Amino acid sequence: MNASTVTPEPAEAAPADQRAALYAWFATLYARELSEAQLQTWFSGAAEPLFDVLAQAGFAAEVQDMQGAINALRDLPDAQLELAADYTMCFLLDVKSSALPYASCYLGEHKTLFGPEEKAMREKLERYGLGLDSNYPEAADHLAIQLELLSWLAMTGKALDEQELVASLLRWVPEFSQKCQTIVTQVAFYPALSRMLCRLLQEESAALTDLSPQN
Amino acid sequence: MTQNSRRVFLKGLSLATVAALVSPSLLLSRESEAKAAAVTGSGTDWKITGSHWGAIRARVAGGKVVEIKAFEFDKYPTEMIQGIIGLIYSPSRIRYPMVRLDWLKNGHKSDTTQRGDNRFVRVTWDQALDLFYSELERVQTSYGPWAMHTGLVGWRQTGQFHTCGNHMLRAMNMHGHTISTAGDYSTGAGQVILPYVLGSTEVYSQGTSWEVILKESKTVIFWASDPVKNLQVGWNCETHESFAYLEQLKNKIAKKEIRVISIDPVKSKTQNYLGCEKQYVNPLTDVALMMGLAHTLYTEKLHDQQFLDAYTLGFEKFLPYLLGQGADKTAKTPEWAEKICGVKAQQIRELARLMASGRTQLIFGWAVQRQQHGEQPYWMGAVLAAMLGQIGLPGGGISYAHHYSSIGVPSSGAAMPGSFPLNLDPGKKPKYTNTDYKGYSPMIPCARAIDALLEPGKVIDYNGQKVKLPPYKMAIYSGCNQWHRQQDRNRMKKAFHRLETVVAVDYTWTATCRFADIVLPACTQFERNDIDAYGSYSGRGVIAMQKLVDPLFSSKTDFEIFRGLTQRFGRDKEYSRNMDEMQWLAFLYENCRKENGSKFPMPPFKEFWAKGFVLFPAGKPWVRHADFREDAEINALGTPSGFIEIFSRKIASYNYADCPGHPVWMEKSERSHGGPNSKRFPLWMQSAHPDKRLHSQMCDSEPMRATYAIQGREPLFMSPEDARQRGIKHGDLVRVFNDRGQALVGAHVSSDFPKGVVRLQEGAWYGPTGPEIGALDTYGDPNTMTQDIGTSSLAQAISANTCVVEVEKYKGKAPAVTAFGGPTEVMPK
Repeated sequence: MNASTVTPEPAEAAPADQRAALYAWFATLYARELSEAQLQTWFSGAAEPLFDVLAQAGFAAEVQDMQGAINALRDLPDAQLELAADYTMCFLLDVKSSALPYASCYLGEHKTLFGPEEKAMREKLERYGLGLDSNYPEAADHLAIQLELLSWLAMTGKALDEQELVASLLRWVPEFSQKCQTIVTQVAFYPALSRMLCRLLQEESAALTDLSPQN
Repeated sequence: MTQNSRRVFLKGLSLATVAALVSPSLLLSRESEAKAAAVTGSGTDWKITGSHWGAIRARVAGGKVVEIKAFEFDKYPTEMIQGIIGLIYSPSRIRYPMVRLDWLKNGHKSDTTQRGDNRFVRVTWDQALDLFYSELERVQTSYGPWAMHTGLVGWRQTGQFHTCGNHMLRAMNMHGHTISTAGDYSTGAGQVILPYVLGSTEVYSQGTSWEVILKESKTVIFWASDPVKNLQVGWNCETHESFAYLEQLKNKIAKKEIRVISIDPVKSKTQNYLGCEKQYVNPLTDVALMMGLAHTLYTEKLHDQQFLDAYTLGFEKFLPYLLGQGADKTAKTPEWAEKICGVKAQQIRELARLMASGRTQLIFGWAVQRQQHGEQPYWMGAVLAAMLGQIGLPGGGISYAHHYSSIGVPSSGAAMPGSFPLNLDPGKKPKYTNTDYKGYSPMIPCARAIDALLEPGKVIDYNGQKVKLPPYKMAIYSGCNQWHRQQDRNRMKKAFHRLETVVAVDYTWTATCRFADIVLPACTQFERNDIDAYGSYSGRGVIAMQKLVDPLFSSKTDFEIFRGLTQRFGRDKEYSRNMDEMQWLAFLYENCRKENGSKFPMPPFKEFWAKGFVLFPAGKPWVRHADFREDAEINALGTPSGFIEIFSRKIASYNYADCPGHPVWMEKSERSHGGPNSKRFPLWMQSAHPDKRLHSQMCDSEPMRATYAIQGREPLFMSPEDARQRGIKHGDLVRVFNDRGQALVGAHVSSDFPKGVVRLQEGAWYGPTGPEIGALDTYGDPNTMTQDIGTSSLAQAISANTCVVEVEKYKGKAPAVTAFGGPTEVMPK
């Protein structure tokens, strides 16, 4: 985002499959609540290696919040339900109570569901020959779907398109993330996740800008 | 983060690090996945459908509604149709079935003080319906029918088949007996008093045709009636045909061919449109003004004694009260009235003389009966009309509903399609046949629903009966917003603490959903196929309601929701009669077609559905009560005597202090303009029907709200003088409050409003800062301030308009609107 903070020398791109994996991880977390089995995976420490690299990469505060959330959940009798309620509070209620994970709710004249952003996403998916899982009855501008696409673009080496989508996400994810911070949750998992995503996109944008042909 | 740290970060990340934490992709290659949902959908399609706001044609492109235009038959469409897209795609839509977390954990023993704080969990439809059903079982088996309440369904989404109340009731009736409601929130007092006086509810009856009024009336009195505002919406699909007549009326006024007077504290939309005369009256004092008019008519011998003798009963019992020969020894002279109603005595006399000087049509709105003693203005209006002696004459008499659903447009006479049945099919019994209500009444007057929770077992009077209020434990609200229409939010909060389980079925996160335990997402009427009457009273045709788009997210039709519920006790086939949506539509349509026969030919269903509508010829002009006037014995009214009852022996026999045997003026519990409590709270707050919504419907439409909200809040209309006195400017944020509640609203200063009168339109969504009692409402729901008392022992209806408040400029940082999306920062022009 802010190119001035980036060192002037051209940087090599991160391995695309690594970016793809990271975006897919975010997409998973935004797509649905964690199931009991998924949460047990987290409790078993499966996220620790990822947390380590994220912490070293400058996301120590967010990682600490997420780890703290996971630890707090361990002590709760209805951990899965509590985290699911946090997910609901953050993303599933009406626009005022929640940080709705749709671009259309932040951009455009009226900020309704299924606004022009949603149409643009559907057209984009069609261009790539991609379809939506019919078991996932969501609007195409849902953050999870956009992150899945970002993951796919990274994986298939469409760097320019990836850059464009990151830029597109950055038009609203900061506001979305800010909204997440205002929601009262049992644990800080989702607010921290959103802060991390927002910063990661900003970093990626800066890095990808450096890689663009103009530079 | 620098490039350096970025490299470190990326180097550390291997695919194996995240593999265990990632779910399969939501994206599918379209070539490999034939079942993938269509992404963009192709083509553009115009479809037709109906609504409370009229019939529309909608352009659907890429699976989305992108354009709405009025059906070409509708020459006076309301701008509200442009809010429909915002309603479908409202960011306040309920997208998934939800259960309140603490209720999910603890069931009926949950902490109910948490209601309203929004901590919900998404569940699957199966989970949601299982929970709903297990609660029905628990309540029926552990308490019985007295503990199960089905909330009154009012302005449901339109459509004869999907009509949500019928779906809820049929499913509930299959399971067991419940506590039902009597009356409604719109006309609760009117519909109870008028059958005693004129023999029918009148409020829901066809009225004298506008054509006749235009031709025959010398004077038209709109008494607290605002048809130009309220005729924008209709009970079924609205035709807006009345507006053609209102336009003619406007022209006649301009040419001075008719006198039209609006008796109202405020300059109404109708008055502004027609350019008619205005007669100011102090709020809530209409009966005093009417008494002054009646006194003048009688003492100046302008009344029609012959009519009173031939068609009415009990005038002589009313007369002593009018003339000061009754218990109060007070003659209801214009001078007496002036002190109360604020209209000069001389003005009252002139108005009475004008009314008696020629054919006068009295047209009442509903607002005057939504107040304490709301029975009285309607009864006294009938007495005035009887004294004028013009009831049953073309262009004379009295109407109580020309502002409603195009009443006054002649009926075609054609039959309209029936609806999905709300009752059990013949011979069927509910699963639980228990009818032991433990001494409680199986029915409560709808407006006493909160009393029942807060004063369990209390015996109240209601329309000649005794009602023992049942402290129901579970309530189901479908397609109705209890937290909009019922009065006194803070009282409601306390009452809802006593409910074990609340189920709400709706398409949008109304306050009722926020205060529920199980929230089920219905789709909007634009996401289902249906049919409807075109013109509730005119019967102008039948309209096809073609589905515009599929149900959004996980929402379902009410039919599917309640079929799913009945499946849980093995009655789903009986529920649906084994028919699907389109089979039902064909069935309802073909029944209607058969009934209309050759008199009103209709094409077969398939042809109708493709065309989208069938229209019938306009009906013939008609005069209300003409048949009664022609022969009062053969065409007797539905009153006990068959005549117009100025004195009702039946009501007198109830011995109600607040509703005696003839109309009387009674002081209100609170009143502005010198009335009780006006020193502390000098402003009368009227909660009129909104101009740009249908009650609370479409309040969640962002584009529509943007046309009237002030700093994202509901506008509070007030006079320039009241604003000046309080240092308030148009567009300011203000706090409106009384001892019952407080709300943050936007000041809309308008010279249409006199000193001492403010308007906060009903239907504004409730959005408190928190679940605590007394919390500030952040958007401007008037029922945060209104009082929850019955009109009287007779009707026990709402008294929302008996409400005084104070207003102050809001200082400090305003809390965000919690009612829905927004705040939409729109500064008034």
